[in-house]
Amino acid sequence: MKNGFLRPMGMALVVAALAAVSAAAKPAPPIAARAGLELARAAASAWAADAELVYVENDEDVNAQGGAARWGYLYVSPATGRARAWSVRDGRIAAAENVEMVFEAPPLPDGWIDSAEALAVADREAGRAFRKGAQGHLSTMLLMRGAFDESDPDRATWTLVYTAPGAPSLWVVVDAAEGKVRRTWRG
Amino acid sequence: MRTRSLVPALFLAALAATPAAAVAQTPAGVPTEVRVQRVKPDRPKLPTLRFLGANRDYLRAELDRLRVSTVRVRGMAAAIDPRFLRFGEMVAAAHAAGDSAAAADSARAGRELFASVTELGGLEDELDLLDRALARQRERLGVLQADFAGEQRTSLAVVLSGWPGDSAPTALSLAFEDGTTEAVSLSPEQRDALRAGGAVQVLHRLVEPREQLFAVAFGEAAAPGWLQLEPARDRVNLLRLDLSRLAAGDAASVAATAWTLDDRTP
Repeated sequence: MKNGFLRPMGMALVVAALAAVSAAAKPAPPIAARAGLELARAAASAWAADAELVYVENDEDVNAQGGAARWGYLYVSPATGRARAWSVRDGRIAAAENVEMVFEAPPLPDGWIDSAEALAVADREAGRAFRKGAQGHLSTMLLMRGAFDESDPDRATWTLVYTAPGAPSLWVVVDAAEGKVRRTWRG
Repeated sequence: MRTRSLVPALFLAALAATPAAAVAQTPAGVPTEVRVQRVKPDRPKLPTLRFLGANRDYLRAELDRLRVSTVRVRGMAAAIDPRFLRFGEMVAAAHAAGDSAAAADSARAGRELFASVTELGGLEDELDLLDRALARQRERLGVLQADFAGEQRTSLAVVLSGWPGDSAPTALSLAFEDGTTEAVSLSPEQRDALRAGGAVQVLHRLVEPREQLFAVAFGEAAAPGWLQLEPARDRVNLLRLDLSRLAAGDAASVAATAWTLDDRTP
């Protein structure tokens, strides 16, 4: 009698647990970098009224269309000198953390091209050949201003880092306003 | 034997996977119970900005190469938001409508002694005029509401209710995940209101629209209670802490409910 009651309850718990675990493990759809921006901005404005976006990076692998399941956005508050990052996944903020480092990147201007467009340009110019020749893959996409472009450091740029086993990485810098490759190098 | 040990493990897994009080998914105005826990829930931490973390020195060196240089830029005035210009016109129109109504009222007072069927018709016209003025005022309020109330940001208001008697707190603190803490002292008036069965709002601030932990404590020496909450985005989220069963500052003995404010205009 006792077992007769416990067994169905145990089965129900197993089913509930499996459903919960399966829901948690469901892969998130890849999104372009801009898709998570509005939510990150909403969180940043709650954190600091003067929050400025200074850096964007893929938090999970980037697919062939420039989408990633998770993107990270770094904001700084000039008034307090603090920095905080939000990671957006599937329309929700999956992680948030204070960044304890001095990172004096200038704020990103509006109007930067999305990750899909930046990837298409970088692939066309250099990335595709690197992938084929060195059996490499794209490991990182980051958007910031003030680095990687010595000729015009004020411009916001997407930097794409392709890596391959046993070979120097390929770096491709794409102008985030004009969508043109500004420089490439191996290292 | 294996099944017996598996069931509690899966039960714990199901508990761990239980989401926070998701106010975001609940219709406005419908309260959701929030668990207040003694032990801080262990939440998996997803890594973010890994490249930046691994290459921070390199990136900072890149930024250090930036040099301040003087550039010649023409200072251009920015365009004024046309809505702000319209607000002035709306205020003038509201005043004009008020003046018309006052003039009509004055004329009506003057004619009171000469009431006649014809004058009753005039009175109807005046009432129509007032109706039209009210309708236009409603339109203006609608415009203002769309401009300002439509920009509601995610906020959290904490409301206290209930009176636990001798163990009633005089202060509470609420710690947020971003490292900030809000400390609130309860005034004698607020305590009186709680004693009389009322509710008091002790805090209202912006919060991040995401699942997060809050630590609430009643008194400096008291152990905090942990609440997991997912505030709805761009809404006023309310968290009610019922102190009726608060025992010796034990925050976990507090009953908590959360809901979003229904701010739709009737």
